[in-house]
Amino acid sequence: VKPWFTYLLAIILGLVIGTITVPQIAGFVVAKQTIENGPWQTFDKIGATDADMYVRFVISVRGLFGLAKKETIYFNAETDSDGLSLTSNCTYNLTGGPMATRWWSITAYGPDHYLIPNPEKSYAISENNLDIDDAGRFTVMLSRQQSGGNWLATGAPNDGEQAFALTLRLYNPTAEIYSNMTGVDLPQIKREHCA
Amino acid sequence: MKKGILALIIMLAAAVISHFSVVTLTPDWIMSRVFAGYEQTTGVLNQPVHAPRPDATSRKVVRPSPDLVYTMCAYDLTKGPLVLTGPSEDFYVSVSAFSDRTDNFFVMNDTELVPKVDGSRKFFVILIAPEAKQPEVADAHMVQSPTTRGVVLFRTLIESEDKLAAALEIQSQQNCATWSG
Repeated sequence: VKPWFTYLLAIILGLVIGTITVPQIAGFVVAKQTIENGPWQTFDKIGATDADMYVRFVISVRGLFGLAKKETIYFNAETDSDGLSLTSNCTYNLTGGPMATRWWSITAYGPDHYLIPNPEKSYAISENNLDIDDAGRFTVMLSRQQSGGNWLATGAPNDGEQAFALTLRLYNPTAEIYSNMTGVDLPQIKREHCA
Repeated sequence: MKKGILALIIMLAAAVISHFSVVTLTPDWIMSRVFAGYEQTTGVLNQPVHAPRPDATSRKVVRPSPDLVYTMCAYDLTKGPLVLTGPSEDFYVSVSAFSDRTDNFFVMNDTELVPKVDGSRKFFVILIAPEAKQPEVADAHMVQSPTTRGVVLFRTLIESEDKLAAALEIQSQQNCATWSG
């Protein structure tokens, strides 16, 4: 084999390896900066001007134009409270209570990071479209099949199984949340049954 | 043997170069796609796009919030400062700016508005280029952009379905334009 061919092969192989390892290495580096609260995860540097290159990469791919922490905290959940991946062939109960923030909402996204198509156009829940008890607590069913009461779609009734994720947005949170990001009371997600 | 070691070094060097290139250039590439899509919609920069309420067909930006309506303005400050204006209401409204590296270098919401001379509470922000001199404008909130190009987003909360019309009315009045003095 000619030396130039070996070196060309080395360059091509290097370029491929360097490129395909980006998601894994970015995920590994960003995971070290993750703040966890039950199934919910966030990190400090969303939108920050001093974010490192890996955070900036992940945000540009998965959360472009996310606001800095000063304005909004974004918690994402890709698992239930027992650590099992959220999947649309299962039904979940999401239970929560008052959150110390000006406004909150929880939105479901498909694996492509866009809103999930469904006939009822059920994309998000917030304090203004839920039945909430006198103590400020609520339970929401997450499923493909519409149910009575509080409900958020994770797909259309006849869709196949697919992963989904939830984003909890806290607009203008109070100091209580900033000072206790890992311990503040956030909704729990419990798997009920799977098809 | 020497050839094998040299090939290994070349491979590692190529891997490092491609890895860091992909990581550092992806945000720029994504922003350049945003600019291209925006120019297709408006024809020019520095003009507002009042986007419809996000739904499952929305593909402009990942993870949109269906509780918000967005006004977007991709800007270029080479022709002068950009003036951002919009009314406020008794629900959440904010204006934010992002550099062409995707950094959120500025955000202001309705609760932070200072009443104007006439007592009204409106957004009146002037965005100026890096190193540019601030124009003297009474009542304006001055912001220096770290990059010449970037994106401004107004977010208006749809607090409840019966406030959708009010949110759309606020959105329709949000504007960006090159400052003419």
